[in-house]
Amino acid sequence: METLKATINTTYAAVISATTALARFLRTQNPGYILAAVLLILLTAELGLRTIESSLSGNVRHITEFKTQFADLRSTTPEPETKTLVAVGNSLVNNALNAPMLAELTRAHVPADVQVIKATPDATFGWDWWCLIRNQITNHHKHVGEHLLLGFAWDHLTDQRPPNASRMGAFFCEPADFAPLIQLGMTDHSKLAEFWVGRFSRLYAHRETIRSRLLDAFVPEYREYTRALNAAGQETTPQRHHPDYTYNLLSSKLSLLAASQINVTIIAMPTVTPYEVDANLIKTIIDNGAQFIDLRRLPVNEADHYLDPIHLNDQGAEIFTKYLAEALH
Amino acid sequence: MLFNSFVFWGFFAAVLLLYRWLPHRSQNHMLLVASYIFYGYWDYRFLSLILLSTAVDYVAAKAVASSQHQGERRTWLVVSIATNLGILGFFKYWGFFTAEADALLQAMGFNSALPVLNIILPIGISFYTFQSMSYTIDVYRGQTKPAGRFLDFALYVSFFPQLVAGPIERSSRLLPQILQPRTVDRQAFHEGLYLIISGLFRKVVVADNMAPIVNSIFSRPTSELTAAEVMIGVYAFAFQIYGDFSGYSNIAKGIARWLGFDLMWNFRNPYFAISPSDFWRRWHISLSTWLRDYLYIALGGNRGGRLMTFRNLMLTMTLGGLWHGAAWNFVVWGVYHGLLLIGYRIAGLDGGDSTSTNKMSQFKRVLLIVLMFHLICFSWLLFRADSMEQITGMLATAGGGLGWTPFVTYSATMLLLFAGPLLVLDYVTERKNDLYYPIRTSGTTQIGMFAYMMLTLIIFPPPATQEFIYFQF
Repeated sequence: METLKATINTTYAAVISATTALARFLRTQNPGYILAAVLLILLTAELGLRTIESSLSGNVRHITEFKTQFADLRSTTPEPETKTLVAVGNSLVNNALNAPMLAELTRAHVPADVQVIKATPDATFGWDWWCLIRNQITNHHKHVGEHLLLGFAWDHLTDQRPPNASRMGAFFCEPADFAPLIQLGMTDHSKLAEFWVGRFSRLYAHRETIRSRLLDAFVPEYREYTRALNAAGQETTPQRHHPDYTYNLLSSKLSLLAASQINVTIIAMPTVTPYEVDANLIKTIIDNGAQFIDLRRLPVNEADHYLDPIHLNDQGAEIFTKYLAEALH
Repeated sequence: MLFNSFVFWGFFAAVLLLYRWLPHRSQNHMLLVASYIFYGYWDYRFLSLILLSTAVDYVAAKAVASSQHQGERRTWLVVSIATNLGILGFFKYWGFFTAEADALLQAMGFNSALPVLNIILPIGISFYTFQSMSYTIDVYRGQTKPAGRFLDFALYVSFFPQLVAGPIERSSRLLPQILQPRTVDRQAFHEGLYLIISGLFRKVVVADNMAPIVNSIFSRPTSELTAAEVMIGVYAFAFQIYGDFSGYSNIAKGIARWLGFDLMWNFRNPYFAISPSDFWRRWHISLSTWLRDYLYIALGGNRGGRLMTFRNLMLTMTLGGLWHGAAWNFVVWGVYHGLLLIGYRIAGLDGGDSTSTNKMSQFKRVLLIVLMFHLICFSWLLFRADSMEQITGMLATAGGGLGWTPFVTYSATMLLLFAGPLLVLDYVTERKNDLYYPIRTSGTTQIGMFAYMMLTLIIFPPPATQEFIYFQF
């Protein structure tokens, strides 16, 4: 009984003392304590976000899924009769390519069990794809896949398309990529800093997703108008031909893939608004031993086959996949 | 090197580290080098202009102070003013005036051959030339002593926290701080922290999120807009320019605070002003006091009777408008503010100092604040419009039916979400009559406020980084 009393007293004193300390702390005006508490809140938010990361958006889930698929493929011995075709791109390719259908159509030409894996995260371009190919497909003792399809439109493959450095640091690149990226032309100091901030802070790397989800809940018509307001510079805006476009990133990608003996096909994707394909781009593709397929002008129309001016719907995807399969063989 | 970029904070961290290790004189030398690097990061070629302005004003002020002859003193003053205004005039106004003169001559039937040059405007030129020029004038007036060392004076002209967008500091305030050893105590750190975080919040979260809405409305043909869209565009711009400029000023004051300096306040809750003169005591204070001390008073101020006062007010405000940029809408903006000041004086509504407002009924005060806010908003339409045609087109639209569209609902909600908290913060500091009040509250309140600002800074930056609006001036 006495022991219990003593324990209760000790516990009571400890609780009172902790509460008093907390109350004193919360009344403090010491900037050091305040800053420490704010940093603790940010750290908690960061850790919390990391635990629910996959459920944040379909895009993040897709990135996690294809990374797992690639890791699994690397860790197992491939069946000799299985051929893997990897499709890289952004939402253009994701919407346009019907993976099971392409696998089925390819089986008719290839005496093997064909699987098609899509690595097509939203709003990614040349810089993201360089890291993705280097780290997920070629930069390991065992590469992934025998054939790579890379879909693009407008200036997606140029060195001039600005990198989203925080996203690259967080999802697609490794620290070892930093120096080669600088050599390839990512020299903007802000971008280099963003790369590392994105690498260490998911809160920062996911900011656009979190922003969209929060504002979507509070602001009427948020998505529609934000998309319209930010149209300039986004993938929805056809880019004018730039006389100084260069393709060092693409050459580097094709060299990496050639060293891993992966066949490459670059595809000009269909869109409602037509765009030009730079002659230098085609030359770069051919000089590096890759194949170029031009699918810009398919028998599709805006009303029946597009979700919006750039993304094909399911019917459009079937037509695209059919033409792609024919062009591949 | 923008305050809202990682590059700047990397630069500032390096400066701060070095600064803490160095003795006072070396601190000044290091700050001078850092200031030139900061400016040269934009365009190193224009460093020569700062050096020219610095050298001329240093020599002129020395000569003014050492000369016994009034004529000689006056000559040196004229050399200083002519050099600064010459630099400013050539880089900022040459293109505008030659184009206008060219158009006028052609309209009169002459075949004009004025050399129209495509001149790049050096960043912050209006700020540092005014700051440097005020030094020579103050020495001439005997209000300040000339700087002993050239390097100290060079730091006064180019001190990087306020070099490109102010506050335009007076030599009597900044030079002694350069000359004396400085300390950074806990209070200074706390104030600096608040100013930096709240400044970034104003810029990145408030101003930059208003920018796409403003740009969208001001880039559409006026015939496609409704009255409600014009109004929301103007309200959004009111908070964009306020968040942008007060944000810059807060960050400048905050980083200077961490270096042991105390720069002047440039904003004091301007949208709580009850009259035009009250507004100018709260908005861009360093420019309005500069114009008052070196232009309005030099013109005679209110010493020559009512009409002369009105003339001086109009001249000061028109030139103040022109200071912002070489375009007619800035001139019209200045004239409008001159008319407001005169109109309020005639109506007897311009006695708004703190004593008289304390006696005012709450209802009347609120009414005057709302009226003044809308008069200021109208001035922002003049300020932001790309042409006089756009101004008249938008005014004609605003006079039509309201036309509440889904875009207005979207924009109004964004305005409420992003500018609302800023208005609450201003309201609290206004009520307490203490701009540092937020850091005098309890730890819990401060932790909540800082955490909110930090989280929104991380999560709600706009899709595209915006430059500070006042850099173009």
